[in-house]
Amino acid sequence: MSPARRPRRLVWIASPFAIWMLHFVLVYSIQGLVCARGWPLAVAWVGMALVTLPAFAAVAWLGLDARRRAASADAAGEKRFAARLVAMLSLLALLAMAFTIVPALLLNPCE
Amino acid sequence: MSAPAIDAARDHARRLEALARIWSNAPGLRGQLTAVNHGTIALRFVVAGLAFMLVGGLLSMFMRLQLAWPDAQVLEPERYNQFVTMHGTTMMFLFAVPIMEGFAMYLLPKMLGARDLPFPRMSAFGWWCYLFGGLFLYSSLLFDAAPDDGWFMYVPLTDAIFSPDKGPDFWLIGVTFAEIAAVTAAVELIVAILLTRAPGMDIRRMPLFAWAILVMAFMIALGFPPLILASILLELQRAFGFVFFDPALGGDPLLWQHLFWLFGHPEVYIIFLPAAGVVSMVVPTFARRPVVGYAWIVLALVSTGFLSFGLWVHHMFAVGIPLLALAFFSAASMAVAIPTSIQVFAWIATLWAGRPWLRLPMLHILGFLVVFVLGGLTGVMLAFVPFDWQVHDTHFVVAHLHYVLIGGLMFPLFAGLYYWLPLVSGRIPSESLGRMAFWLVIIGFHLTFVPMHLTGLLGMPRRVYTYSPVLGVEWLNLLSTAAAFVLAVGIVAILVDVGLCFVHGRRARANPWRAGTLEWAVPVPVPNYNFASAPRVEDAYPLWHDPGLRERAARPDGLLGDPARGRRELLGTGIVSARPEQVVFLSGSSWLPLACAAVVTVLLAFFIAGQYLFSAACLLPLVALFCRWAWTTGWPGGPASVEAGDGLVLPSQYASRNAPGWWAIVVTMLIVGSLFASLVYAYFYLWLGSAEWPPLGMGDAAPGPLHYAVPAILVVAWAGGAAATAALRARRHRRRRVVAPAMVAAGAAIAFVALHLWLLGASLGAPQAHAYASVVWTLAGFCAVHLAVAALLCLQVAARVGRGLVDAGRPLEWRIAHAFLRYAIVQAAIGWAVIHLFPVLQ
Repeated sequence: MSPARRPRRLVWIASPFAIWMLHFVLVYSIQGLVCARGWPLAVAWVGMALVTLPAFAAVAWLGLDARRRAASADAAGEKRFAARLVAMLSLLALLAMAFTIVPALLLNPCE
Repeated sequence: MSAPAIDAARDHARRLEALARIWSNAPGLRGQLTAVNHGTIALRFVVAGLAFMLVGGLLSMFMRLQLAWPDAQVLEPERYNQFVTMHGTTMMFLFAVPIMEGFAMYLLPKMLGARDLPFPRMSAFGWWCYLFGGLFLYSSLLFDAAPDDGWFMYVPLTDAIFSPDKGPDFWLIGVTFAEIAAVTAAVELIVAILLTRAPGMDIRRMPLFAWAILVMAFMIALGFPPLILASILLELQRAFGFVFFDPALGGDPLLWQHLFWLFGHPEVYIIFLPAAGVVSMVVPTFARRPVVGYAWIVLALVSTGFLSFGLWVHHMFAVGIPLLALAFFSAASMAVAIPTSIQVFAWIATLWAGRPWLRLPMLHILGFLVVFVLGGLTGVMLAFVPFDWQVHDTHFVVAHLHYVLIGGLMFPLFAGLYYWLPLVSGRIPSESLGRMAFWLVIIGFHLTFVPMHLTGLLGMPRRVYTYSPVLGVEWLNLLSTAAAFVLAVGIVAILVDVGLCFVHGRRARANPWRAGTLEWAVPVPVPNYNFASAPRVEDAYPLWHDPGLRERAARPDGLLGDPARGRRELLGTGIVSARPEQVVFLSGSSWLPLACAAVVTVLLAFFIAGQYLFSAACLLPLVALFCRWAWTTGWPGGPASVEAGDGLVLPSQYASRNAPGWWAIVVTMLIVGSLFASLVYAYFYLWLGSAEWPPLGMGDAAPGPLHYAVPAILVVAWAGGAAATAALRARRHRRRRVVAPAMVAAGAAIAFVALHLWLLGASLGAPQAHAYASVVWTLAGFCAVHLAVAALLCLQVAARVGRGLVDAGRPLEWRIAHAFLRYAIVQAAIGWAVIHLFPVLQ
């Protein structure tokens, strides 16, 4: 008996927005924690930055890597399709994360 | 005709006859009650969904009459509240979600080139739960206890103090009961789409409807559990005095709102995405060209699925949450417009680039585009926090949500109904009555809901049985009411038209719309097995490029064409590549789904009557029935590998790595994991709002050595499971070496449950004392239930190993039990850490 083959390509397709979701939950949780517990606001700024920068980097890497794979000549049809999809999803996920984080630059976390 | 040709024709006829016999329901009433075939079950979902739509619509007609003039006295205020509640609840839970599942259950196997869904008995169980749950909810009218607190059931209005009657209990129990159908359908549909596509239908060639249903099913798996959990918590509070939502004892009413809308907003997209899938099927057919931007539409579906989970607080903009948090949700609410617009542009581009054919289904698609885009635009307006504050709880929101839901669901639904009618009835719908009904619907709809934007902007509150004459909105309301009747007549006319089509419709030729997708390759009238041989496809619109496919799929000489084994067989293919990988043996007609649903009904009836002991006693027959179900699934003792035709020898599901049962347990763990995550979220949410955690004099701030020793028992359970797996994998395994460690694992799981609950009882006290005790007991109980189920699974499979039904060559059932055991152990370990470590570490 061997373990089940994982559907790596489906997980790959889901990954850009899974990172968006994780980023969203973490940023919202940091804001909630800082305000409910009365922690210094600096914790919110630093925490959000520490979450946001790696999230942007990870999605950007996913997108660029997928774009490279989609462009490679030896990719089979279904693989090329998945790569194109991941590249496009990464772009949209980056946009959605930017949408999320812009208010944090403009508003006080606990007002 | 030569002699060999005559022999072949006779052989084909014999095979087709055998296929029809194997896949047929039993005759008469018994056959109806025991049917599990996807076609039978799915059509019941559609018919019942339409019936519930009519009932929900009838309630709204009374509401509109009441609002026709400020001092109208059609409904008493209490009755109006009941009607508002039942209208929303019916339309969301008993119409919109189930009917789309019905569409998916009927169409997907045909679109994917499969014979049935992978878990037919589960489909039937879901159907009975939906029917009984809906009737359970409506039975509240007989007891004059219909819920009247709104379809969102906000606390404290729904707690035992402000709603001492049984109304909220009927809602919480009835809706959760009906939701079983949604959850089982989600498992079923995900596995069907991943594993039962026709050979060659890789992820580039999947019909867009299948993509939409795949995303929707994952959303149900993640989105329904928060509501199910919230319903359980509120029922625990109402029935047993637990405190989750009472601030006086550490609870928080906003927790309900968070959990409800964490389900409630994805719900909107759970309704819309399948409808979008219908549009993506109808538009290319009537544009007479492939859809423009296939990848873009998939992108839109996937991203909408995720983004819709970041919108829930936009229903709570007015509850006093800090502005930055509101801004996060406002941003996500606007961002979700991007993928939705991508889809709209793709459909318009398809029509633009094609040669549109304006038949009845297409007319409804045009109606959809206009109505849904308008609803989307008011949605973007509502995403702006200051605007939302202005119109919150006014009829502007009522107008918006009806534009989105009627636009996003009803019009595509009617388009789909007309589009696939020739497939189900073998007849073409009439254009004349259908067109008249369409114009009644679209004119009636706009005249009903456009005025509501204005009445809302002028300040008319929603969910209230009257309004002040000072607002000056009488004439607008009168117009809405009059137009609502036009809309209702239009909808009834559509249903009459569809009904008449079955009797008087002109006979349709095969594939009358000249569509390109596989469901139109099924012969009409549709045989229960759909395809005599599994079709092979080479592009997204196979019927446009392969004219012989229809005939080949109807001939029983291809893959799985020979029914010699006398079993219901389904071809399983690779998740991404769709290469043939396994033969799946399905269960046939059975009383078990109906019996299980009936016992659940009795259990819940005792519960709502306050007869908790009788209710608990019902668990015994229920567990016995489920054990029987698991024991008789598929082909007990079936072979490890089989001849699949075309010279192909494939493993059966019992030996396959990607067996449907395996993926079902993976999706089940996702659902249970979401339920558990919601509970952990509730724990931390209550912690966040508390001054002291645990409250003084409660709980074990410094746990003793015994507390830390308890998790060691989980290690024993884990080791037992691992040992059983290792013994099963051994080349020459002995049954005893598998059975013994499996039983040890089950025993250890039960021992953990017993010891942990005993320790909590000794240190924590009653759950009614404080929200902390309530949530800790619930968390511990939740983990205990899952460990108990895992133990039961281990024992059941151990018994089957003992009988020789599970072995190294057919390890599927143990893999499933072991996966769930590991999940339950990890969940219990996390639960233990949250309960015992977090208070110390905080």
